[in-house]
Order: sequence, then structure tokens, then C-alpha cells
Amino acid sequence: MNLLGKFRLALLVLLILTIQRTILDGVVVHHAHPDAMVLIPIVIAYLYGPEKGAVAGFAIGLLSDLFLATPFGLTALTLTATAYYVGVIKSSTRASLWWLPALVAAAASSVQVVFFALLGAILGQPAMLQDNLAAIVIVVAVANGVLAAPVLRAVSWATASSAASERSRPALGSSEAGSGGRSAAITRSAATTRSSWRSN
Amino acid sequence: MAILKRPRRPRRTLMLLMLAAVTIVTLYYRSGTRHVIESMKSGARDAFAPVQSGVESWLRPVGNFFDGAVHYGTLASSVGRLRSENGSLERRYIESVDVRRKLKALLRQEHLPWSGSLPSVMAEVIAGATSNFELTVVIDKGRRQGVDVGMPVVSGAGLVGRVIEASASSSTVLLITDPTSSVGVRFGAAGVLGVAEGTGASRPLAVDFVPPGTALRKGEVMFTSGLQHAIFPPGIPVGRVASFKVAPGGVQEHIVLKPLASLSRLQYVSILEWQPPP
Repeated sequence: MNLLGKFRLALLVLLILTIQRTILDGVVVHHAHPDAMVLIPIVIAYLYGPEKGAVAGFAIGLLSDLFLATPFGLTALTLTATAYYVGVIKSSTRASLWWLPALVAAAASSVQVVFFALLGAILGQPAMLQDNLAAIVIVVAVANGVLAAPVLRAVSWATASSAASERSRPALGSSEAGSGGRSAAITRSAATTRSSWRSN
Repeated sequence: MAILKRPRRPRRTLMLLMLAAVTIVTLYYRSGTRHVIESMKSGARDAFAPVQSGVESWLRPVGNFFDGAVHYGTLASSVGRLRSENGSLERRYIESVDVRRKLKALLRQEHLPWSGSLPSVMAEVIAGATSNFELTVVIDKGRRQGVDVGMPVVSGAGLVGRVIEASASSSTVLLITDPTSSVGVRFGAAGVLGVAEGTGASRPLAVDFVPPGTALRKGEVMFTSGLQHAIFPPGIPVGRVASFKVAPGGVQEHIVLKPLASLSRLQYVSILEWQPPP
């Protein structure tokens, strides 16, 4: 990802953070609200594979932790693992179903919420395993399933130029071996995902 | 759907990031380094507060629309103020009951500090809980206005919670309904003590440690006890007894306490400039 892509992605993250803090935090259904910050690394992992997903999960998790009263680093920990495995699962399949991003976003968000609550309870906050957990999981999963499409489109737009420039590199395209090969394969996977998304 | 051979996973990156995250969580729990993290959080909130405040003022009607309140705006502001004034009058009335009880006690004892005499800072609630796993609200006053961690927060009617995080221009308040919150309470002419614990959003508090057979009546108001090392000053109305019973073989009364403050519709609150003793 080139500098312009990173810059646009950072702006997008800040925009979604602002929307989260000012609007989505107030959309309360059964004492739970959507969490769009979880969605960004999931979408990045979906588009660019496990490694970039994990890095995005760590960075965006830390950013989220700055605004939460829960143990600092917990969101980063859970988002890193969640995004990584989203990338692993996505790179293992060649699916181009239009509803797949929504399904992946909903399922991965559910897993992240439960993982977060479990770790919080282990770290001395048993109240995080509250009986409202099911409602939180459903609200976050449904909201992120719905928001998956626009966020995927936005992340695709933000990183479009960088993906194109990476695709044009002859060294990466000439070999599948090593990290360059993986990177090229992931980039092609992202391009395939984006094109299938647009065609749908 | 075709299943392909899994690519080589960049596990090393995952391990490094997980290790870094675990280290950060560990540092958070170490008292020596926690203040560094808290100052980072405080800095981030201060940097974001103007954006949040600005966008909040513009987009609040949109959020309220999604939350089921159309055309909130000025009307909601007026209703909030009126509710605050009404609650304040209600609190004064309820407090007067406690004051009369205390006056009798004060004839025999020396003067005790009371929340009614404490200076306070008015604040507006600018955001709800930032996480699904905490019952908090964000208010628009911080250290710059004299707000600090540990200070009690009240609305017109009664106790709301306490400040758990304070940056320069905003603070986070933990509500008394949060499952991690507990409040020492006192009630009745005999000044029976108990501990009111949060049980979750929009749920009443559960009062523990009250012996079975204690004289109680439905609707009775419980106040903060303010015992030694208490985290709240004495005399703040907390809630009304909604129901009480003793389970067969139980060693304490099962008391359900409904908070006096309308915690789901908070708009204006007061932060009492009182710090719990160290």
C-alpha cells in the first residue's frame, strides 16, 4: 500500500471513528449499539489477507481502546486475531457471492465480541460476561452485516491506487514464491474481490 | 464455492502483534505504567473532544432520529431542563426528609459533611457508553473545570454515578447501574446500612447485607451512607425500594432498589467537588 493509500485509509478510519462516537454510539437497541470500528480490519483482512488484516486490527484496536474504559489493549488483541483469521479463511476460498462480505462481517464481529467479553472476564471483569451479551452480539453482527457493503466499497476506494500500483510491479507479478509472491497473490485476490463486488 | 489450498500464513506477524497487545494489556494493569496509558487516553480524548462536540451538535438530531426521537432539537433541550428542574425540586424535597432525620442526630453528634453543601459543576451529557461492555456516559466537563476522577455525579433527582476518567475537557461517568458499581446505602430511622449493586442497563439495583426482618416499606428512599473510606459523601438520594423479600433460609433481605435518577434520559448532571478519602 503506497503513501496515498495509507493516508486515505487513515482518513477513512478517522471518519468512521467520528461516525461511531457521534451517531452509532447513540443507536441503542436492547442496551447495545453497533460497533463499526470492528468492521474496518475485518474488511481489510477480507480484501488484503491475514497479515494486513492483523496489522490493521492491531492499529485500529489501539485507536478504539483510547476511547474505552475497558482494559487498554484488549480491543487490539481481539481485533488482531479476528482480522487475521478472517484473512486466512477468505484467502482459502475463491467465492464471489454477493452476500459473502456481509456474512463474513457479521460472523467475525460476533466472534470478536464474544472473544472480547471472555478475555475481559478472564482479566478480572466478570461483568463483561453479562446476560446482555447475546443482544450485543446480535446488534453488532446485524449492524456490521448491513454496513459491510458501504465500508468494503469505501476501503476499496481508499486503497485502490495502491493496489493498482502493487499489481503493476513486475517483480511481484513474476514469482509466487516468498513474501513478494504472497503479496502479489493477496493483491490479485483483493482485486478479484473488488471486481466481483462491483459486478454484483 | 471452490476450496483452494491454504496459502502460507504470516503467523510471525500475528504472533508479534499478539505479543505486543498482551504486553500493552499487562502494562495497563501495572500501577507504575498505568498513568502513562491514562495520559495517552486523556490526550486522545482531548484531541477528539472538539470534533466530537462539533459533530455532535450538528448530528445529534440524526442520532436521535435513529434512536426513535424525531424532531428532538430545541424541544428535547427544553424538556431536559424542565426535567432537571423538576428533579432538582424532587431531590430537595427528598433530601429534606433526610436532613430532618439528621438534625435530630446532630443534636447529639458533631456536624457531618453533607452533599447539599458541596460545590458542584454543571455538565451536559454529550455521548452515551463508548463500549457495549460498560454503562457510562461522557460529559462535557473535565479537569479544566475542576472535575477529577472519583467525584460523585448527581442529576436533579439523585445519584447518577462517579467519574472514572477525566481529561482536560471531558469526563467519563460510570453509572450506578453498571454491574461493577456498588454504593454504600443507609435507610430508615435506625440508619440501617447496606450495599446497592448495579445489575445492568435499565435494571434496578440489588441491595445486599441487610439483615432479614429489617423494618422496610415499599417506596422508602435510600441515601448514600458515607461511611469511612466510602466512595460517595453521605446523604445523596440513591433510589426507592421497589420490592423486598426474604428467600426461605435466606440470611439477608432481597431488596430491589429503583434509582431515582432517570439514567436512560440523562442530559444535564452535576459533578460534586468531593473526593473520596485516600
